[in-house]
Amino acid sequence: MSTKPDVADVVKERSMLMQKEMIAGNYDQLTMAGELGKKVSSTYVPGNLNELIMCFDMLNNLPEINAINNAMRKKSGGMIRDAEKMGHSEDVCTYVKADIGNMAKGSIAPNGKPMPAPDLLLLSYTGCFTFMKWFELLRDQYGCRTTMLHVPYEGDGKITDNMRDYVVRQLKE
Amino acid sequence: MKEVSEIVEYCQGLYDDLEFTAVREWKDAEPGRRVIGYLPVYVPRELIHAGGMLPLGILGGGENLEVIHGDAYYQSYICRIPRSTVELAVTNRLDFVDGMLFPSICDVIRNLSGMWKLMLPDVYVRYFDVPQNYRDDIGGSYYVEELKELKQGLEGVCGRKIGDDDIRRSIGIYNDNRKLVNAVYDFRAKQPWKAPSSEVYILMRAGMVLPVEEHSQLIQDYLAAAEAENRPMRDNCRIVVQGSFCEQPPLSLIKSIELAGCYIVDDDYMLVARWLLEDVPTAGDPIANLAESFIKHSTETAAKYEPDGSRKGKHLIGTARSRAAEGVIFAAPSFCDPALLDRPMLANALSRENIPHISFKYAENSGQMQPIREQAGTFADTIKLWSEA
Ligand code: SF4
Repeated sequence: MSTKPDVADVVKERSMLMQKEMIAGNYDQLTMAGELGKKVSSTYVPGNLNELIMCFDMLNNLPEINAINNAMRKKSGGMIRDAEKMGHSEDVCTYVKADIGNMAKGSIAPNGKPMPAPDLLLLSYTGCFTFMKWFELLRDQYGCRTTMLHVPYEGDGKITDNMRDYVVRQLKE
Repeated sequence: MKEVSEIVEYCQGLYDDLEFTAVREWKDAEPGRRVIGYLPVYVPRELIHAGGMLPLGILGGGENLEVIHGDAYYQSYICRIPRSTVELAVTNRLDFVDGMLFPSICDVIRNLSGMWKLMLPDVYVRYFDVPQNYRDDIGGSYYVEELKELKQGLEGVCGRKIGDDDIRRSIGIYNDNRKLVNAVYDFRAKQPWKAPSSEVYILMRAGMVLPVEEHSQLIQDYLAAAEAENRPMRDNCRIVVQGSFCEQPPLSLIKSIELAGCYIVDDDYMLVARWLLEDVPTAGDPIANLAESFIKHSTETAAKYEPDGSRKGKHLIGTARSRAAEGVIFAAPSFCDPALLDRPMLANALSRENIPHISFKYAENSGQMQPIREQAGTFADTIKLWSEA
């Protein structure tokens, strides 16, 4: 008879453990943003604007990471249901709904402490309209400033001068 | 003068024809003719036309296409338009198409552009990424270069240079077409009993496959015929349909809304024909003019980023007011993130203005219309019986 292995026996790679540590560290920072006197920017993983955010000494809140973290801890079902009760369709991106449902529950981080509302929504748009609508929805809820960076999609697999110049002009703006 | 029934029958024939016979015939009529397909939501058709080519709007396979292969390419939880478009391709129904443009509307269409390249390596394929930054010096200058690149790509297909005068001429022709399209919308809003949406819809669909000049003539014929026809005015409820800008509803859904007692007085079905809100200037640099029109005078839709949160829903409210609509029906394709995520924000904006609204979803091949009729009918009755206006 085969038995399910104990989760504790699973051997994790070093990179996984490091990732876990980094994410947990970020959550600790985020939930202490008030005490640390730091501003918080919500942004997406693709488009990677970490350097820019770090230049302003701000903290990074990554809604996709929040959604997947809640899903892994089996917390997102209720959040998604709450978002659907608020009028969201059952067949749209569950990351968005988990995030919105989490917000309605007080945006509790995995460390059990509430995360602060973002001071800035930094929308890095890379061709996925869900991202764009997601931050429009968050802006609607938080009423905070939203800035968008449109990174053109490399349809032909290469970065053209025009794409680069467009991104540079937006960054300067 | 042509009769309405004659025009409608012709449009219905074009709508039903999944082999695109009219387009094939156009192409075969002269050697060297080329066809460029495009998906929703907007491409500058003027550039295609300026190269002597025919822009072909591909809006999925509709309600009558059996999708067999298309489903194998996709996971279950996305909309239907990419599946049926793939089906059209793998069943050789698009084998006469020389180029395909995939505008930025969502990641599904974006990724379809990559699939097309793999599936049909001999076809010119371009993912047409329009700016979401609407500043002249930022998104505007990016878009000018995008248009130039597109023009260059199209020149490769038609085998000749596309001159500024060619583009200016095409801009003028499309300006005329847009005016006529808007005239139909105005006519329908004024006398919806004379221009049922099931007719207006297939009239606009004809514009996806016909040369623009022929479509403009067809619209003029329809307007004259519809004006002359005596049709009874009903006490129907005036509604705006919102959210159907990409995958199209089956025609039976539009008919069901009408049968349920609603006059559709505005919609967002084929925005490519109404994307630009003003004429594009025909004098000066035509590429710069197309870009400026896009940046400054394009319609509001879920396919655009709204940088100013306080403006969210204003365009829809304005449409409802200017069309004297009594309510809004959100009708979006299942799994359509852009439309469905936009909807709660728009719905809240409408509620704040006391504009009634309901919502339902469809797929291009939805067959069961009874629930739609019931919902739309109840909505219309509610407005007629309980509305304060
Ligand atoms: S119907 Fe919606 S989700 Fe599907 S391709 Fe169109 S915009 Fe994207």
